[in-house]
Amino acid sequence: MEELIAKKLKELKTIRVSAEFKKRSLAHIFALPQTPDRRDVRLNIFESITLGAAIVLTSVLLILVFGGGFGKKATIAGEKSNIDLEIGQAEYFGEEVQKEVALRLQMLERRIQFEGGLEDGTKGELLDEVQKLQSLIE
Amino acid sequence: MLEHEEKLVREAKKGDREAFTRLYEHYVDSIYRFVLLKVNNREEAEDLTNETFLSSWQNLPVYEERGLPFSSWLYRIARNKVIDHYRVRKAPISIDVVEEDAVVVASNLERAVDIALDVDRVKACLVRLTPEQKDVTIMRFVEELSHKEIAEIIGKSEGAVRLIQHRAIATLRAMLSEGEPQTLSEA
Repeated sequence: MEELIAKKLKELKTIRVSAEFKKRSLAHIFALPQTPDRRDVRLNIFESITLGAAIVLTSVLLILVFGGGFGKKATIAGEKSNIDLEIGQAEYFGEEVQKEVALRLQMLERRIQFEGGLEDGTKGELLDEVQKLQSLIE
Repeated sequence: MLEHEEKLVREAKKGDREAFTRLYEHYVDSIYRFVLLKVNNREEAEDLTNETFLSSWQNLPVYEERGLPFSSWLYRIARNKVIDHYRVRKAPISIDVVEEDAVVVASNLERAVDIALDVDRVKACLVRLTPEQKDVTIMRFVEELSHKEIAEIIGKSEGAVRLIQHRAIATLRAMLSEGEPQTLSEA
């Protein structure tokens, strides 16, 4: 009986799709693009975010060191818009990158909080900017 | 397994349509049969087959070869598509639309004559198996995949696959020998 069942099941192998279906299906499939390799995309985004975060960090440190009031806002605004864009892309491509950025921003926040010789107003302003970036990835 | 399959997969991953078409031509009937025997509706089977190959084309760049035939990946996609299909569409499935040879609800006279096992009865009983038993039975007996491949596709051990197969055959045997009625609904 079992052999007979197996034999009958094998007969179902004669079921096939029509040539018309294949043609239609392939046309539909090729009308749509392939998804880029996420590992490559993630790597690129990760690298650019790392670079972006490094630039932000450097800018903030320069501000902390030199206490420049004039270039401060412009620098932060410029770097913020860079990282905004990168965070936007990162949000789409996965949690891994978001976590990395969140961690870097946390470190930056703590650094500002505990940095000595910085006026409260400047500190608050810098922290506001960092918080804005944090809210983007939450 | 298709000749030069690994090379074709590598080319298709880079967007080579000709390579993908060869893979498609080689596997489309198997995937279609698998889906059709699960959903019992030709149009739905065609849609799900198309979706399976569309997903594979779109996600090929992230496909990782793990020493198994490309078909294992396709079956996994197809299986997930069928599961999603039933998640959305909970209504019972009619069996009267299977291919051109609709399942015959045997009359008393036909039953008397048709003691011998016919393929339609097997097909009708197949639909009554649990989804997992159906997967294993179709892949093992219709598509002749190895236990290892099936295990990979459904995410179970080879031992578990053998057990599911054993139960499926026992259930089919019981249904066929008792002349089970053939009004069916999808589990």
